[in-house]
Amino acid sequence: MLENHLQSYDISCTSPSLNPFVRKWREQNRGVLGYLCNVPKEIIYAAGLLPFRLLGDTKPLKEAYAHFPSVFCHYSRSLVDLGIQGDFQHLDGIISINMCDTIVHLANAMQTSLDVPCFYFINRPHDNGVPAAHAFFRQEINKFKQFLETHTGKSITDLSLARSIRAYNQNRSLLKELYALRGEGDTPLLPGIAVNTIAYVSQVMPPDDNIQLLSGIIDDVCKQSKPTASKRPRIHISGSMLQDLSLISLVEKCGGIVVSDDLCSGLRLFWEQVNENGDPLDSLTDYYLNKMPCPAMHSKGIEEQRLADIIRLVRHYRADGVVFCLQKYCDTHQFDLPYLESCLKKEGIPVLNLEVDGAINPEQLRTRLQAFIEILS
Amino acid sequence: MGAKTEKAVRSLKITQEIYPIVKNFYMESWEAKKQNKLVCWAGVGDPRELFWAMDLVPVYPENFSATCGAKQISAPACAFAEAAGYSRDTCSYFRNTYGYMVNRDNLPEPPGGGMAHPDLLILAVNSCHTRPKWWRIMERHYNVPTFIFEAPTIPWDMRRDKIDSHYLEFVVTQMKDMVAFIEKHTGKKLDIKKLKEAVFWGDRASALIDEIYELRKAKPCPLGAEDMVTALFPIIVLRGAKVAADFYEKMLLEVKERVAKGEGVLPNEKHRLFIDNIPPWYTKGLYNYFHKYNAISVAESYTTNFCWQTRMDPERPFESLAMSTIANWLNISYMEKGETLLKTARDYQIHGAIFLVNKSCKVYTGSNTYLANLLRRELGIPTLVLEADQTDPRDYADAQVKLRIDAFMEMLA
Repeated sequence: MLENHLQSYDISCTSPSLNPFVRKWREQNRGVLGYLCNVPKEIIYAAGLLPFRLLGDTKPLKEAYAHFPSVFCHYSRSLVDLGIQGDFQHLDGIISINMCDTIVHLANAMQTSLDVPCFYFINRPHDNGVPAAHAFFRQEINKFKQFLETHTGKSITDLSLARSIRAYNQNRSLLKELYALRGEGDTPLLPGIAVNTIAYVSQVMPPDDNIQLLSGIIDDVCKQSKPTASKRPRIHISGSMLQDLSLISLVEKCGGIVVSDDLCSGLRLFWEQVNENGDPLDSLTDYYLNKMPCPAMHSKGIEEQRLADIIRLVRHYRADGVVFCLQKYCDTHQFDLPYLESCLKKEGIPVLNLEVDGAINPEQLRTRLQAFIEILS
Repeated sequence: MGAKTEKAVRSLKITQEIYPIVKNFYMESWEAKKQNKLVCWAGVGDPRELFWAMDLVPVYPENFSATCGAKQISAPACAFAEAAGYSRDTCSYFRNTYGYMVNRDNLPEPPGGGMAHPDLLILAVNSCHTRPKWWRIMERHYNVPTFIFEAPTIPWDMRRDKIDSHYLEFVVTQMKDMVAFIEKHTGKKLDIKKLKEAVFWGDRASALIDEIYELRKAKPCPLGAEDMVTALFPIIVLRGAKVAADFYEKMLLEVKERVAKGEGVLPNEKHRLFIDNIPPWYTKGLYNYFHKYNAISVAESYTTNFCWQTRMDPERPFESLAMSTIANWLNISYMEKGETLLKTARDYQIHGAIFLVNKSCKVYTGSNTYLANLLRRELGIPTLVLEADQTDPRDYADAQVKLRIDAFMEMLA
């Protein structure tokens, strides 16, 4: 049963042209919008459209060079590459948001070089301590809602927003539960790779379908017999978008177990809930400004907060060491790294720093991972 | 420094005056410090008129790093930052400043003694998210009061002169918060008369430099990039002070005189070029290299299109400064950059365009491919892409760069 459920989270679903839900929605004449990062997807879903996070892939690039310079991370360039090759032909539009410089430039590169019916850009402030930031972002979110209403010709009601928020909140709690089953006990009830793949692929699923699937998996896991306790070193993964999840398998092949992460394609997706009481747009404004920060934020004390978040997760999931997997050319993460690394070491938490650039090279990484895991043993 | 680099050979008289102005600027900040004035490290593109009006002594880490680049002393400071764990792919302006911040005594003496220690850190984020990270690192190091505010990025459905009202309001509100922050630390209220005066001088300098840019449309071109990028110092650093307007007044006279006499930089000007990106400060002599082919850079995105200059209304100082903060070249969409560049190419009668891959400034380099493709497609203008960082000379391969220029110029001929 579990195996069957896990099969629904095939990594190929991250391509819009291969995703079965995209096919189904289009057959039913319902629209699909690709989006980046922290776009308030709840509004898209409330508009009756399928929000599909653009995740790119790890394959070598074919045509991106002619449209987007190679000073940006592989993640962003792979999206331009896929777009040029026609992978986004089933999308009705792409929604971007002001996060890091790369995302802003990716949005511009896609807008100028891809054949997609519409593009939209939301400005999100980067300092949630600025008093005017909330009001500004609220206006941007409202403007986005109006854009979607014009796009579909239908108004987005508070009720549909509340339903959408609720569905995504349920997704968040279920993913959190799944992370607990993996990382809170002495022995993971699921392999690290399975949990990270589920979280990753969840981003391209309709939330209501995903609730069914996630609930099924959690039931299956709870029913299965408990494995014997493991003494393998427990690893926390830190970074932005980790596209090549085989890194998680590699950690596990090298003798460790992945118990937690603070990836933007992992735990940062679901750690907090959107407030379900009160004005939905206010709640979304609060959530997307205040959620566990990525280093693109520049609020006062942001690095200290990120450090505290990582330490809290390391303690919560009882990790023995932290592996940073930073995308090459990801400046915002690179700027935080020396501070985080030295503070974690002072806390007695061993750190390994890996740079990733598209597909990982297991031969190159194996020795370093083995040595690191040996130290932790 | 391993790489071969060259200083620029300038052709105007006025630009010979720049280095003494730069040196003096930094020396004055040390002097002001002694008189207990507050030194503020700020971002280039900040509303500097407010700093003058509020008696702050602003210095600009980015400009400091560019100056170190131009003095060809930035490499060891960059290397120091890397040894401290910062990736070599991060901005070399940051790495140079970081080196001097932490390890000044072991690095070459910077011009004018470098930057006096900050009492305040201020930054307007108006395109690049490297700078707020960098400012937070400086905040942690110096532990001084810090104020960072941000301008939204202008998306493709707006234009510099046509933005949503809430964008402008957001910036104006934060700018007023900045005034309150400065007042708190100086203990003095903003004198609105002084602000209007600074905005007047900022506008005056802007109008003059606009006129200078216009004169570069003349054939032969009266001044190339080697003079123009050097002459940016007053508009970037001293805008809002009378001295900047005085400088451009003199510069305009000299350039006008040249145009009236039909005198150009090159006796036989043949090719007119556009150059993109932040200058590779350590080898500005590269601009002179084009002269060998009777080619000259007549417009640059860093000068002509950047909007260091902004026409401002002294009666509406906050709105004017907010617009100036929002409207720079790096904060606009590829679409708007494209429209601007096509106009520049037509107006300045450009025959070829040079783009730089500058790993330090991804927000500058990002539009390279779009703009190059656009120029070729719309106007049939050939383009060349070269690799040159803005301040870190260590990866610069002079011979390779020149070989590529040679091939490009032969193709243009």
